[in-house]
Amino acid sequence: MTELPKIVPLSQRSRRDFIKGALLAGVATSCAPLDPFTALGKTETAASGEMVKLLSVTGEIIEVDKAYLKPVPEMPVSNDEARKGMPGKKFVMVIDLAHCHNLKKCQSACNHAHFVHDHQNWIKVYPMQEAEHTAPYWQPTTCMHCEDPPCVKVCPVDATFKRQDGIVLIDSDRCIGCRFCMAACPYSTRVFNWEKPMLTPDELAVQYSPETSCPPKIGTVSKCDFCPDMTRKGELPHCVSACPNGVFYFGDMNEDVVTNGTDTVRFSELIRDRSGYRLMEDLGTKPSVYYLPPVDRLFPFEDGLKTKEEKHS
Amino acid sequence: MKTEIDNQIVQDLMPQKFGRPGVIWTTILIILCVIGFGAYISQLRNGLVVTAMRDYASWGIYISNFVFFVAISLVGSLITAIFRLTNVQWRTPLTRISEIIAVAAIIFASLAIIVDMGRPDRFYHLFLFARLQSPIMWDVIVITTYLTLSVLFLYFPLLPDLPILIKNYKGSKFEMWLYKFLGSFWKGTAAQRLMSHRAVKIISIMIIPIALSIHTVTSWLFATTYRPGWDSTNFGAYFVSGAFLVGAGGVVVAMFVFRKYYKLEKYITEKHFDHMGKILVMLALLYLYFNVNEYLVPAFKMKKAEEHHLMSLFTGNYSLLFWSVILLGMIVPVIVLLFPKGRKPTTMFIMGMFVVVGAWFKRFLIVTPTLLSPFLPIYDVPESYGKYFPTWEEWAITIGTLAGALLIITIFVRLFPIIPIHETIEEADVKHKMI
Amino acid sequence: MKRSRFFLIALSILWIASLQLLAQEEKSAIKVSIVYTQVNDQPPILKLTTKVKAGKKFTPLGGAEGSVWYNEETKEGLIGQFKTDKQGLALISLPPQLATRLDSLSPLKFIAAVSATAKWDEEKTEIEVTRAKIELALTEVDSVRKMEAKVLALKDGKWIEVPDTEIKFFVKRLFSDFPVGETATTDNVGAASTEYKIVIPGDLEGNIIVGAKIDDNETYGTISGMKTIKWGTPTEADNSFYDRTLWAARDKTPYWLLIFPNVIIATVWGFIFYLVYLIIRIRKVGIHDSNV
Repeated sequence: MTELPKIVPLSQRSRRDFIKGALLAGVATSCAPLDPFTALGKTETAASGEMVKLLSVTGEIIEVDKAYLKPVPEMPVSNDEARKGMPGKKFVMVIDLAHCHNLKKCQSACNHAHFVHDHQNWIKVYPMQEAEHTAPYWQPTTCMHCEDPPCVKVCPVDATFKRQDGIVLIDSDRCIGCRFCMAACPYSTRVFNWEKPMLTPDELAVQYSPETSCPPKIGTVSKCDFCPDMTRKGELPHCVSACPNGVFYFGDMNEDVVTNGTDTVRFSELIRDRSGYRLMEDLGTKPSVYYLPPVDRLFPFEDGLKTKEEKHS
Repeated sequence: MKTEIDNQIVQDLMPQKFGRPGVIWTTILIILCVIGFGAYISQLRNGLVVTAMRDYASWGIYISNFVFFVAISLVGSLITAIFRLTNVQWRTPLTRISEIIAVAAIIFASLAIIVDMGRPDRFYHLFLFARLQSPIMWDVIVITTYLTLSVLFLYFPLLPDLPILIKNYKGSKFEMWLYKFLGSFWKGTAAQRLMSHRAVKIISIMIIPIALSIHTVTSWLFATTYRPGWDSTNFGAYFVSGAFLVGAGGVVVAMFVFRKYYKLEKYITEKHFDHMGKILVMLALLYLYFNVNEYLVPAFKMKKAEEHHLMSLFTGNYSLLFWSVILLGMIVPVIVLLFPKGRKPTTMFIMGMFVVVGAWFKRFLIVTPTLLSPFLPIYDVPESYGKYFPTWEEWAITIGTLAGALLIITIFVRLFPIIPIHETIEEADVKHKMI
Repeated sequence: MKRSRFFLIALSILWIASLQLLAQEEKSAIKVSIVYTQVNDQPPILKLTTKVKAGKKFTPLGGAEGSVWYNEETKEGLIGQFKTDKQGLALISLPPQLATRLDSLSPLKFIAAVSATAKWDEEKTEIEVTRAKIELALTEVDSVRKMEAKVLALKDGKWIEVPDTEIKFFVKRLFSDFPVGETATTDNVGAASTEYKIVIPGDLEGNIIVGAKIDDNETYGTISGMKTIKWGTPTEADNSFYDRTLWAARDKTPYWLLIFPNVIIATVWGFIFYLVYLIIRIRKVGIHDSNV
């Protein structure tokens, strides 16, 4: 059987992206791609008769029978697309503090997916206690992807930007490492790559895109990115899937539905019934992450201390 | 008689070759610059991890050093422009000193900020992808403008001195070439003098708002964030008043050094120190006033976010540094300089050093303690992230920039007269005519 | 003499062999499962899950490679090869040629095998799936909206009704399905229905996708039927991304920030250029004078 080059209809991808993707077709990206099956066994594929015009690797326009088209490995979108985002969507996250047990599964899943090391956690689970007589609780904190983001306002080179789907991303190819955004963020959510990231050759070979944020680059800022590469495929961010207690809900506010992988609920009802709030509302940053207060806790706060000890023993 | 006095002035004010102390001084500065440069190479190769800055204390002494340089560069506009416009008679010996301090400081402010960048290889991004909404962009624009204006402000009054140098100076071929290149065309004709005066007038007027702008915009690098200690509406005026103080202190130190080393007692007289002392008292009191506003008012309220920050300054980790800076950098100079005996040259020099060194540490106290008092707890990070003490690389690079600025001043003084010869002659003529 | 030497050799061989056996690592137990899924009339997709035993529980296993066959493990039956991702999942869509062939076949048998590695032995599983489909009807009578689903299965070449099967109605959303009503069970003619009372945002025109599905059924897999209908509230387009704000990109600077600072900068630098011009003129005058 002829081994056909992996080709995609011209209208869907820009040629440059395609060539890059073709070169990297053999390399697995760590950001959860759908792995295609490879050779179609030894059976001959019957031509369907329907012809499609396509652009080959060598830049020629060729006509191929539609039956021969196969799925292609996931390629990151272009920089321009990454800066525009997905139209008509407004991503929002709801974190249920009543169910957080400080297991830090969210942290490990996120770190693993984005090649982040333990001293630079993008998700931090804080032990919070507002006042002396109020109850302590565990608070997982991601980037808030604010609607009025102070970090984006102060960036001198447009390295961090807000997209139309509400996600705030960082372009590590543009960042000059001035760290003004880190000073401006009141949620202390940004981290800096002070040294050369310790990555395996496979991880280094991954094609960079602001949507995957990997591999991280020295001298640039990183932070939680709401996993846009996953949301483009209709999959939930890693932290949401990883939490065994269903603490993270994620969804599109325009659809008014959020899910934690198991339960799918109306966002407006969840916030109304469980009295959701946002962090540091009075600063006017208008975060996209809502919190459900730690009422009717599933676990006492002290249980979370045990997991902390286990981790550090 | 007139020509005798003139010649005497020229002889006194011509640039002199370095004696032994000068050579030792320059060598030390060069060594410090080289060490700093070597440390910077290490930083380029290994990344900013060689510093002690981490995710919480993400700005350290590089930034406070930058702010210090911007602050001290305001002196150019203080002495030269304001004194010129208000017709202060005794300003003449001090104008060039303050201008060269300003130029050297602003050049090294730019270098100091490049040193702090995580990706200096992408420096051109600031011009290619400039985003006007960012306060950093405003800072880049204003600093470039101020640097250009300061250089022009140094150059125009230097022009009349150049023919004097060309005629009288017996130096190397390079120096001759330099003077000829810069000003052999100055003939002192009426037309030229008219244009020169006009230029100096324009610059004197323009440079004041621009000088106020650079430090206001630099203060906005902090005031446009939400953090306790920085979230203040007062920051522009606070920084500008501090800048005037440290600038005046710097001039006093330079005055003393040049006077002593080049034997300029006739030109930089005790009267000058007396006047500068009074100005220093006024500026220090003004800065103290702003400090009281900045610290007493939030302390009165003790908002939750600010409590940790204020207590770390008043009684916590930074208390020793904080109170020393206030005491030795502001209060002691005020008290000492209130007395006429305190305004004698040597005492003034010591107080000037107190002011300048105090100001350097004060800038550090503005930058890093706020970053170590974030809104959310410092957690899920290595323990070292909660502290900051600069590494040897940071010290080496910082001291290297300071040495570099001093080197620029030293080289300038070696090549050009530190007191404007032409203007001094003119003043002497006026006095002579009046007698 | 000869016998004792032979005995010695045999003993040493046995000794080495036993050492090898002991040196072999203990292999972990793994599980692999297939779920057959199909939406409307689209080509079916096989969802493969691999799990490995860690301690007492089975956890998702990523990077497991294997092959999937239809009906028999031969060259003709090979559908394709897979490698599970970090969540232990792999999706294989049936190639169009096979899918069209399968239209008339039922039940379908699929076999999946995970290849042996140093860490685990080969593991196989097979499922037998009866082709099923859901016919979805959406009605609106006197402003009462109803979703009616009929489940049919392909048995002996004929589509027959399927009673007593759990069926769920939902509104399709980006990451999950939002349930409509309670989980229903098909009656004796394979039909189930629910009233649609939900007010939920749709796209700009109010379109939403609603459907009914059989979820992870042993016989039929996961089958769903979906339709687009204007039962959602229309949402307004949010164009705030294109506004000129302080947080927008550099091409969308607010007007006040574009105009005033640039005017000031232009004025100041205008003066600076004038000053440089003055220097040039001073120079000209001086040279002219010396030539005269």
